[in-house]
Amino acid sequence: MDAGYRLLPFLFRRLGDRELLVNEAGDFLIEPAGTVEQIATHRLEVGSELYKDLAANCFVADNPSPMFLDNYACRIGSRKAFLNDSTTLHIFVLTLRCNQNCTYCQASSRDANASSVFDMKKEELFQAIRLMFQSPAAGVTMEFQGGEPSLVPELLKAAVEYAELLNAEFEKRITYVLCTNCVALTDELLAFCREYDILISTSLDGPEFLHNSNRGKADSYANVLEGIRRARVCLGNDRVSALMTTSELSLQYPEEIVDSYLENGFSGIFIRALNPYGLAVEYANRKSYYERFLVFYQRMLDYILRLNSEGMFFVEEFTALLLRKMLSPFPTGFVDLQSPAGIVNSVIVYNYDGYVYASDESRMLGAIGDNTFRLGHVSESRAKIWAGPHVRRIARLWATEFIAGCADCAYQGYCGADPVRNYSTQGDMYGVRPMSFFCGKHKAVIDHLFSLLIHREQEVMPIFRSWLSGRRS
Amino acid sequence: MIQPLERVSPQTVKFECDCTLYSADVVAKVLYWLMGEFRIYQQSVLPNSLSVTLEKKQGPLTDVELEVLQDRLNLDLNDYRLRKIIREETREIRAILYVKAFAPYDSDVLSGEEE
Amino acid sequence: MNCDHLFSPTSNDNTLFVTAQCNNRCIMCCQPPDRRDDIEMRYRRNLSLLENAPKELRELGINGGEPTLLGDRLFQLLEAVHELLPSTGIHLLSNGRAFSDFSYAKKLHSVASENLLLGIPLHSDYSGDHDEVTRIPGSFDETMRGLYHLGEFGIRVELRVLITRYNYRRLRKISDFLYRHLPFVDFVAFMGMEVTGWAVRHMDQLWIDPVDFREYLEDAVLTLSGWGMDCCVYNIPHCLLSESLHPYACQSISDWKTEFSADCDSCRKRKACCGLFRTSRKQSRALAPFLA
Repeated sequence: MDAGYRLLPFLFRRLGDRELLVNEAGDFLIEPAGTVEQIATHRLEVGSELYKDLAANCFVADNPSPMFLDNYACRIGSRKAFLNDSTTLHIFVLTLRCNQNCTYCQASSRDANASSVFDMKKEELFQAIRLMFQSPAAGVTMEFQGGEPSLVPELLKAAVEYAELLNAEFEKRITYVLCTNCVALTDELLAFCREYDILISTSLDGPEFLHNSNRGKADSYANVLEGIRRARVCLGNDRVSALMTTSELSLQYPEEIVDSYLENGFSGIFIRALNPYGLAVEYANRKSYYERFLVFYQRMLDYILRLNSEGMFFVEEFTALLLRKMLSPFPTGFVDLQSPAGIVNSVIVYNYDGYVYASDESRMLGAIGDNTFRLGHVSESRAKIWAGPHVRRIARLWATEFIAGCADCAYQGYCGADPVRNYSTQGDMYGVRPMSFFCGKHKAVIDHLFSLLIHREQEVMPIFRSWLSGRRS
Repeated sequence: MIQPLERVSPQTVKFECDCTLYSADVVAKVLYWLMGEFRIYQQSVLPNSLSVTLEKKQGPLTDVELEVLQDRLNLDLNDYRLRKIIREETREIRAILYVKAFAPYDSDVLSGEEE
Repeated sequence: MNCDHLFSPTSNDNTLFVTAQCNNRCIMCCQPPDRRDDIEMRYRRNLSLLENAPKELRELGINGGEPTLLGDRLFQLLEAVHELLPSTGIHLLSNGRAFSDFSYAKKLHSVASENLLLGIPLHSDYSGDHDEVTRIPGSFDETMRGLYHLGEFGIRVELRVLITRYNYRRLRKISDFLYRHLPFVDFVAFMGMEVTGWAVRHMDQLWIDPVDFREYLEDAVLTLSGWGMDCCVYNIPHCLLSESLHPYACQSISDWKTEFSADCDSCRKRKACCGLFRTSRKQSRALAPFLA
């Protein structure tokens, strides 16, 4: 027995007949079953090729020097560098009024002609913007949502102009995003977007029949396409992005959805499952949805990989984000899958009524009367909202590194914690991992990606690398 | 390895676990992941044994499922035992790494109300 | 070797030799170190060379031995270069170990301009193999720490991987390591060996014919390049490289050391090729011209 090496901290997971080992910086190795036992019982042969692999990748060390530990700590810290910026995504819910009736929208939206009591008050909007500027980040994103924010163009203008005014002092890089269904995009509004370089983010669920069925209106698809066309002409192709949501109906049409994105000039898609608000509450129904979602995901990804193999550059953005966490040393800014959680740390929501919420889902809970994740009011101080006792309580359970189920999971560094999701689906912020679809879905997706890396490496690696580096191979 | 699972009823099995081989926290972590499918009952049996009963929540436990469960328990118990070894041996280094990584940033800039 | 000839703008090798002392003992060293303290003597001589150097010099090399053994004198030298030759690129070769001291790295930062490029070698992803080559235990950790400090200060680094029998099989793994651990370096240079100096007496341990590591090198370069990191190949003639690597090959050999064989006259890639080391005691068995 060769005792001549020290163990470094790592986690592992069984993948078929292999063992996946992952260290504190997210580096991984895939080795035959039995390797972990060999390592842990100090039976490795020092100087063997396996030993060199493990040592070079920080799973074992001859004798970890302080300098080695400093460097390793630096890499660990780098992966969490997003924390230094504090909140970078600031969501402004300008109004609850909406001119569509999407089947999976939270029932909080109001009719387009409803009273302006459902619009944000200007003074509160300005207070929210002042709060935003207190974020230490050098770059922030101001995202306008609703209801449908294009129904309140004067509020949008006031928000952007006020932000620009304050920014003369703060000199941050501000990215403006307008989330819109494109139905009411006037020329005047588009011109305003061009003036301030505002990105348009819209929803396109797939081919016409599917999109219209999801949106609950027969002309929705035509409107969205027209809106995208006009926005591209006015702002440029790269200033318009689309998101899809996978409804029950969508699950049957993975290739058709990709084709519709291609036909409409997009070079990528972001596969998004429905959040629980769009699903029946019963556990059995949700289970069925997620099982079928995983099949859907694999089929869509396979189709996209095939297109890439044939020379097309088309990215699946969700996969690319996961791959960035698995294969690259760089941090990602994906607020939905982060540890410490994206809520508060990376995203905050200023609601139309002046209240501040930890995330979009938090305010949806608020809309049905549950204020568990309501953090305060825009008239309050940043210290009270961001670091009051409420947030501190949540902070005890908002990281994968130390909650049950996640603390021993090899995917800890790739996955994320979501106390809001836990609370809304399981009634408890801490969450019960074995019954969590958030856990099940992400585990299954990451398992699938590792399976591709193991069994189809030659085929998928060049494609994945091109997605990460932006260089077409 | 644990002894073979003993069938108590169509949905229920039980087994005894040697606590000198698998400590209580190791067993707890293994059983945690079964919570979705099973109701779990535990009882200490002196001197060094834990008796665990697993009751399937929905439907009977078939013979095939029993075999799969047996293999899974053996594998998981050993894996969590290994995880415990690694965790304990690397506890200090992990702490040093986290302090080095994050201590430079550990200033409570937002400190307002204390609890 | 080099150093005392006057600078010439038409030469690709204008170098300040700052000391023959070194704190590594690399097994393939082409400039085996000398223990005599020659720092002051050479510093004065180098200043005089600088004062007389043509302003249009494109690039100036600084090497040794180990230049950081000059301590603060190194920064004075760099300041002098910056003052006398403000538009000249500086290629400083070092093992990087001194920069594991944060304050030393900081001092470099204060005198460094965009013109400065540090060439620093790593012999393996595994510390044991690297230390076996440098024959100084702990040198890998120090060099790596130095690289991180240089990265923090944004100082440009050319990460050099000298290919020998020790590491040719791990080249792909070295690439993966470089991407994960040193993504901030300016570029990575994979280098063929010059068999002079100590490399001659250790030939059996070191020599591997480039034609025998051709596939390993191809895998390593294309992988790293695929990750978006810039790569070059130095000192390996085109005929010994996979065709896919020809775009990465550089004219890397000092003109006064370069030679071509008689066969090279008929080669259509001669103009692009770096040629051979005249000084090298061993050449590949597979040299062959690309005929039209």
